[in-house]
Formats: sequence, structure tokens, C-alpha cells
Amino acid sequence: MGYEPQADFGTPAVQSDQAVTLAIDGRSVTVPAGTSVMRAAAECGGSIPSLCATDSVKAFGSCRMCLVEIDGRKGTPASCTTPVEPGMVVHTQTARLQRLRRGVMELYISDHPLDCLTCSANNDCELQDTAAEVGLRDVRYGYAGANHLGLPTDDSNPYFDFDPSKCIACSRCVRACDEVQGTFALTIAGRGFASKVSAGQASDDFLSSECVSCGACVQACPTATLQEKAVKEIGKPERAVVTTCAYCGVGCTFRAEMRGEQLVRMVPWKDGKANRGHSCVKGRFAWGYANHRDRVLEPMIRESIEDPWRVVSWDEAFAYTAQRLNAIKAQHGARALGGITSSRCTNEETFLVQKLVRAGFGSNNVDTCARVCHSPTGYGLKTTFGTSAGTQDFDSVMQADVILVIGANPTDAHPVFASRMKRRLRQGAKLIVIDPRRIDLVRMPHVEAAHHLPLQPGTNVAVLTAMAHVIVTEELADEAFIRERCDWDEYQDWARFVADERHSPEVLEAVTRVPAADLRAAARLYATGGNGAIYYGLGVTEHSQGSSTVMAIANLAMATGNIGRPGVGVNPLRGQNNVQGSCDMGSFPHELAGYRHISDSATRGLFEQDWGVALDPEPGLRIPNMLDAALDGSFRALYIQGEDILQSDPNTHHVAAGLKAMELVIVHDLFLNETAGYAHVFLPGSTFLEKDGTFTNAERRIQRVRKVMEPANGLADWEVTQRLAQAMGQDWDYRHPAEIMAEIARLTPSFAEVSYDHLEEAGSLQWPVNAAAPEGSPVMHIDGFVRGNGRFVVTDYVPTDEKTGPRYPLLLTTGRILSQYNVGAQTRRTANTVWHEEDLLEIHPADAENRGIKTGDWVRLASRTGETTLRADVTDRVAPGVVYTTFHHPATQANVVTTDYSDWATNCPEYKVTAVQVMPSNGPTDWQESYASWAERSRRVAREPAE
Amino acid sequence: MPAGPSAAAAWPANRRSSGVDLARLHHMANQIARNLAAQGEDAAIAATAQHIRDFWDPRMKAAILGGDRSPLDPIARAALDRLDPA
Ligand code: SF4
Ligand code: SF4
Ligand code: SF4
Ligand code: FES
Repeated sequence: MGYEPQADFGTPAVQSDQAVTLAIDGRSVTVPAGTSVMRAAAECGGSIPSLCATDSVKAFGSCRMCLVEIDGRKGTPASCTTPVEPGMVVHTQTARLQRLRRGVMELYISDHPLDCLTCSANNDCELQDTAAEVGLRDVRYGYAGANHLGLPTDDSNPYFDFDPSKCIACSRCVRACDEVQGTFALTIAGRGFASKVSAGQASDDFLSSECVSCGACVQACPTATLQEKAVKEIGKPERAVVTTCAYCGVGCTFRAEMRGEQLVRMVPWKDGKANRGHSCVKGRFAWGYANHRDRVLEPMIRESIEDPWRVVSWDEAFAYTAQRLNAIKAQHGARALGGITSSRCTNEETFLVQKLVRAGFGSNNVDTCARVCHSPTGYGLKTTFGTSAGTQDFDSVMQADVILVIGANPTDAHPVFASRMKRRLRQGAKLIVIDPRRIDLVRMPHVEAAHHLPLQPGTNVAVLTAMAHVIVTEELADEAFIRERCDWDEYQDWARFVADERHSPEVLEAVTRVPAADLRAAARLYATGGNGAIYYGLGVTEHSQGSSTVMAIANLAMATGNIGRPGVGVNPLRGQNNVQGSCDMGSFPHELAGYRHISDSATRGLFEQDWGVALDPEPGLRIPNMLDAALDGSFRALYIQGEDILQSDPNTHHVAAGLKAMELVIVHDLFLNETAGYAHVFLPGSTFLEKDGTFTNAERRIQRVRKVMEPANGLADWEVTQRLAQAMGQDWDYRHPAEIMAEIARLTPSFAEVSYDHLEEAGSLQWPVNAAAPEGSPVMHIDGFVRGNGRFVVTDYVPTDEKTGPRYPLLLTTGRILSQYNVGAQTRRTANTVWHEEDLLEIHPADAENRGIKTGDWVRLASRTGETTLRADVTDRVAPGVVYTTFHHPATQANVVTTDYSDWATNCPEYKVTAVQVMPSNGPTDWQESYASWAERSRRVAREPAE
Repeated sequence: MPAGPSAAAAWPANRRSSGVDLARLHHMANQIARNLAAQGEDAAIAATAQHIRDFWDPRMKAAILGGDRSPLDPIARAALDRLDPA
């Protein structure tokens, strides 16, 4: 495939019910009312020269390059700012226009370095293209006058440069930052000739400015002023392959632009329905880990975790692993074996790992990292609505009137979706934030929350019940909706429960610390403000009451009729790229693909027939139970694909002890991660750039992942699992992931109509994709809930057993930041570390002062479980009594201090509430030092003597 | 050298490291029962029993059914009696 830049229609697409027909250069064209003449021309295959217009931002009309003539109108209007009208007759190419455009171009070029031949944007520059298009041959003005050619390049951003000498002051970058990203980091400073793009204050460079490195300005820039460093280093791309980001649950699609076998840049794909052409710093730029020197490319084994690793061939690795697995199974039974699927791997890979466990190992001991993030979503939404997924597509937010964000920090964790949300908020939608921290959304340029309810960590259920109390007792519930769509008796039980005086905001204020008047106002706004949409994250799920909170959210949405149409709904923001998919694919120990219980003999029968084996009808172990069972000797071997449970799971000591107790730990990953310190077999993994497959994002959107280069380790991850299965005696013979998807589709009703051909045709599909909805389902529960009647579940506020007291007076809550991802295995191996070198502890000034702590000081963070040290950041983002940190760096190991308290229904760990003490410290704890030396020792690789 | 970091002091004294962790299973069962209690006693007992049936691995069920049930809350205990009337 050759290299074609993405089409640019000049101005954004317009939605309208009315169509307008006009004539452009003799051709008749019909477009939605409100479309610009420029876009209409582009849509019928024409092209009007332009510089300041691009279809990601609103037209600005400053360059005067896009002039046209319109019959019956005087002058030469700018086509980018002129809307179409019925019967208009437009001419885009006349001698007069040609002359005018050439004159404009000449002025631009006279202040532009004429080093096209050596410029990195040569042949990929709109200025150059436009100059050619208008036929500019020579410049009359020369460079003798004032110009901008001597300005120095700002190379402070690790991924792109800003070379102001090439800037034509078109302000596309400024508008992209404002309209697309919503960060407002750039301005055009000065006027007229002196106007110049600047990042924040005059003294700021890009790195020190508000810029979040999303790349929107780089993509919008028509010249080489803002350009990826990699284009300079590697050269212009020669081909492009569309694929899906492997970081977060937004699921942005990108064009991987390649030169030979080298990835030059990832450019957000305009046709991507999840991201609509936008991106964040991670997907756009932070892919350097894919060929980082730490990546391990050869399989390794060792008898004991005390030994150094020994590099072996793939054949030996599979034979050894299979023989050990079979031996353990023979001696201790199938239930001594298990596996963990990865939400970073594809649907097909995840499906194979759970198949290997169920059909090959013969147990149901399969779990996934969703255990530690969104398992309560699975439980809560299945119980109330009948299926375990968000109800809306992302586009839906553009029709929301009231947006309620609870326990989520979208600008950091789901940045591209956050940009859409901010755009809607700038249009006037109201925002309610329920979060112990003052997250950025609460107040940022042009966005301000109507209500921020800074609750005490761990009291989500109490806050939501109090909101329900207000809605029921003030008669704001949507009775018609409830009668039609839900079980009325269940509703009345629930309404009676929440209406009880003990659930009033005034009574619960003592527990939640949310002022009752604010809470009442927020509840009224959600119930009566038009379309109400709820977005939530791990601040909801990672609690002892995670599942109750999810159900409490579902109750609120049903009670107010905010479900079943665009603009409303209940939307979990998923952490990892394929966490939705890994759950869909049967990664939970009690469920087969499509959320069907393993005890259901009809479903089990389907799989048994297809796979030709008998399946265990009993649910298997969850991750924490696997670790417990390892300690009691009944669980002995674990295959972990693409997860680092030692770092990501709570109570690190307990995880380490569990892993250490196992006979055989198989880690299949890109890197020798922290868990690999306890492994006996290391199987090298492949990156998302090296394989075919699909990911499913937080809006249930199934999207293709396409191989853009050969796996550096020789095998894609699905091939590794298949080879292991074959070595254990399974007769698998998949030649391409498309065949795995065919198996998924024939065994999973919600995927019945999914195939690679169908995906190719549609671009992406949102499940359910079946006979009833052959093109997928952007919004769910439209005519009825998946389970029939929506179910109101009484959710009592049962406080966590983790209590503060004199020894541990503060509450620790955890989260993440924009530039890093999860345990950081990938992002720490990219230049993103310039934004986040280490995990910091946020502490309120009052708590800091009591303890004599200043920003930058080392502090000891201790809980009943363990202790660690890190540096303090004194800030009033957190409330008094609350401290906050991230868990991106192994050196900090925040999970040494988290406990094994967990959600009552799913055992999702309670990361968000740990009672702690904080005190000044001199440096790392004994644990950190001994862990650091252990981690180094456990990574030794024996070098064979040279032959 | 012991395998793994040897910070023995970092091990919390209140967490055991071998043998079937009955205390943990009791805690789990009680937590389920307490969160379902608001549904009313009968419904809560049925739901607790169903929850354990649906989500617990056989060895966990066997351990809690075979163990001392006295540390359990009444709803959790009644749920287990329903799973195993013995
Ligand atoms: S990279 Fe993104 S945030 Fe930074 S200036 Fe450009 S558009 Fe704004
Ligand atoms: S940096 Fe690029 S996009 Fe921004 S004003 Fe200059 S030329 Fe236009
Ligand atoms: S928002 Fe998520 S999916 Fe999109 S580029 Fe960033 S990390 Fe990737
Ligand atoms: S493109 Fe229309 S005025 Fe610049």
C-alpha cells in the first residue's frame, strides 16, 4: 500500500436533516444544510486551495486563499466561511481567482525559508502543495525586509518540535488545541506581522506550558512548524496501516505510518468512530517501548526462582512447560492449574488463554486483570440491566445535558473521550463531579462543574443513596418510565428503602462529609436537567462496596428514566484497552464467553461439543483465591499472559508469597516484569504492532488490530498460546486470528454476526451484533432491558472494614495520571517519563504542616499491611485527612500498603481506601531496598560459555 | 538466601501464610451476607447461598462447609445451612 495522506474536507462535517443542492464548477452537489462551500467542493471531488482551514476545526477565514466566485454575488468570498445555499452557482477556478491566490501566496512565501528540498516536510507540506496549486513560480519581495527566519526551534517536547521560522500564523494549531483537545495551551501573541504562536506565557516552552502533548496541533499544522521529531529522524512515511491503540479503553484508531519496517508515526485516524481523529500522548507518541532494549525476545526457563534464567529455543520452552504442566495435573489434579488473561492482548488471544485453561488444563481457574478494576461493573450491570457493559457510544455524550462523573478522572485516564466531554460542556451541558479529589475537570479553562461533591473515600453508596432519597422524596422520579420498563414492585421496595429518613443527605452528611444542600442540588439537577449521563471509573469499583455502587448508579439512571436513548446512560470508563473484550471473552472463572454461567449445562454443552472435551461445571478460582490456594498447596501452576500482578495487585507481600508457593509460574510478556521475578518460564510476547486481532473498547466497539511489522520475538501471542496448547496435546490448528473470531462468533450470541470481513466493511462494530442488530448496537436497552424488566436492587451502605484510627489516621486513595499507563511497563520505557519521573504522595497542607512535611520531602507511607517511601506533594487538591498517589513505578510499589479488603461480590480489591500514616523519612524502606536488590538478582540471565 | 525480599518484618502479623484460610472465607461470607441483608432476611439468605454457589470454587465451598460455622453472621450461617443442610 502506498502512502496517501488522510483526506481533508477543509471544514467539519455538519449534521442536518435538510439537504441543499448547488452547482460547483458545473457539477451538481447535494450536502447537509450548513455545510461550507469548501467542504461541498471537496465532497464532490474538487479542491479549493486553502491554508487556514482544516476539517478538525471550525473555519476561521484568515488566509484568503480559498476565495471563490458566486454568481450574483459581489467580490470573492472565502469558501471556508461561506455556507451553501440552494441553487448557488460557484466557480472555484477562474483567472481572477488564480491571480488573487497567487498574490496571497507570494506574501506567505516571502516570509518562509525556501529550503523545501532539505525540509523534513518536503512533499508533505500544504504550503508547498498550495504554492504549486496556485502556480507560484517566483517571489518578488525577497528576504531583505523584516522576517521571522532567524527564530530558534523549541525542541523541549520529547516528541515534536516547534520551528517558528516556518510558521504562517494560520492558527490551526491554536484552534486544534482549543476545539479538539480543549486545553487552550496555545495563543497567537501579537498582531499583524508580529503575530506568533506561543505556548502559554512568553517565557514558556512547550514542555513547561499547559500542553498535554496530545498532538492535535501537530496534526493540524500545514507546514513543518509543528512536526514529529521521528519524521526528521527516520524520514517521510511510505505506507500506512490502520490499527487500534493498545493503551486505554477509549480505543482510538490510528494510522501506523511506516517507512520500510520502521514505524515513523502514529496519526489518529479521522474515520475512527471512537476518537474521531483525536489522540492522547500515549497512543500518539508513546510507542517506543515496542523496541526498547529491555524487551526480551527469546524464551527462558529455570528450575528455581533462585537460579539465573537460561535462554532456550521455542521448542524446548514449549516442551518443558507442557511437560511440567501435565505432570502437575497428573499429580494434583486439574484444579491445581490456572491462567490469567490479559486486557492488553486481543480478544482472540484472550479467548485462547481461557480455552487453554478450560479445555487444556481442565479447570475453570481463569481470571483477568478486570478482577482488580471492573469486575463490579460486570456484576452490577448484569444484575440490574442484564448485561455487563456500558450502555452508550461515546458520541452520545454530545447529546447529554447533565454529565455526572463519579470516581473517574477522564482528562488523565481517558483523555480523548474527555476532550469530547469538555467540548459538550463548553456547549453548555452541566457537570456534577463526585470525587474525593478536585480533579482537573472541576475547574479548567472554559469548564466548571456545577457541583463538586468531595466525599469521604469509601462512601459512594451513601452519597448515591442520599441522591436517590432526594429524587424519591421530592417526587422527581420518572414514574412512567419505571412502570413501563422496570418491575414496579421492586421499584417500590427500593423507593421505600431510600426514602427512609436515615438516608437523607442531612443524616448521611456525617458519613459522607458532603454538605447536604450541595447534594440535594446535584440530585435535582441530575433528575430534572434533561438528558442525564453517568460516567464512572475505578473510584466506583475499587471499593468494598464496588458492586453496590454500580447497582446504585444503575438504580439512579432507571429511577430518572435516563437509559435507553442517546445522551443518557450508565458508562463505565474502562481502564485497559481491551478490558471490555477480555471480560466478554470468558475470562472470569464462573463465566463462558458472552457472560454465561459455567453451571448452565446448555451453554456448557455448546462449548463441549465444539471443543470436544468435557468442561468442569463448577466455577474456578479468582486471582486472590488462587494466591490463597497456592499458600495452602492446592493451587500449583499459573500461566500469566501480559499482566504484572505483583505490581498491579493489592498487598504485594501476599501476592509474592502466593507466587513463591507455586511450582510453576509462566510469564508471557514483553518484559521481565516484576511478576517474572517469581517465574520459572518466560515466554516473550509481541506488541500490538506485530499481530492481527481485535480489541473491544469501553463502548463495546470491536475494532481491528492490524499487523504492521513482523513479531520481533518470532511469534504473535496467539501463536505462543497455541504452541503451548499443542505441546500439551491439544489439536488446535488456527492459521489466522480470523479463524479464532469465527469460533467466538459461533459460540457467543452477542458476537454472532462478527467476522473479519464484516469488520473490514463496517470499520468497527458495537456488540451485540446479531440477527436482531446485524450492524451492531451503539445504544443498548432501547426498547427494553436485556434482562427484560430493569431491576432495582436495594443497596445498603456497608462501611469498609478498613478503618482509620490513632495509628493510621489518614485515608489513602490511588489513581493514575495522563502520561503513564497502569503499572507503567510500557510508558516508563518511553520519553513520557519527562512528565512523571516518580510516584508522588499528594497531601493536604494542614496534614503536611502537622507532620512537618514540605513538597519534595521523602515521606514514609505506612498501613497495617506494609510501608513504602516516596516524595510528598503538598496540595489542596486532596481534602484534609486524605492522601493520594499513583502506582506507575515499581520503586514505589504503592501496593505494598494496600490491603486485601475487597468488593463483597467480586473481590475487586479496595485500592481506593487504605488507612495510613504519613511521616517524614530519610529515604527508601528496608523493603524497597531489599526488593530492589532481589528484583535485579531475579533478572540474571546465564550466559552460555562461548564455543 | 531466601527467595524473594527477606523483609520478614514487613509481613503483617495478622495474616497467616499457610493452611486453608478459613478466617478469610468467613470474612468473605459475612461480607456478602451484610451487603445483601437490606433485602430482608429471607431474600438475603437465599441470595447469599446463591452467590456462594455461583462464584466460589469447590475447594472454598468445601472448606467453609466443613469448617466451624460459629464465626458467621446469622444470614451467612443460614445460607450455608441451605447449601449443605448436614
Ligand atoms: S500537543 Fe495538544 S495540548 Fe499541546 S499544544 Fe498541541 S494541541 Fe495543545
Ligand atoms: S504552527 Fe503551524 S498551525 Fe500553528 S500557526 Fe504556525 S503554521 Fe499554522
Ligand atoms: S485516549 Fe486511550 S486509546 Fe486514545 S490514544 Fe490515548 S491511550 Fe490510546
Ligand atoms: S482557508 Fe478559507 S480563509 Fe483560509
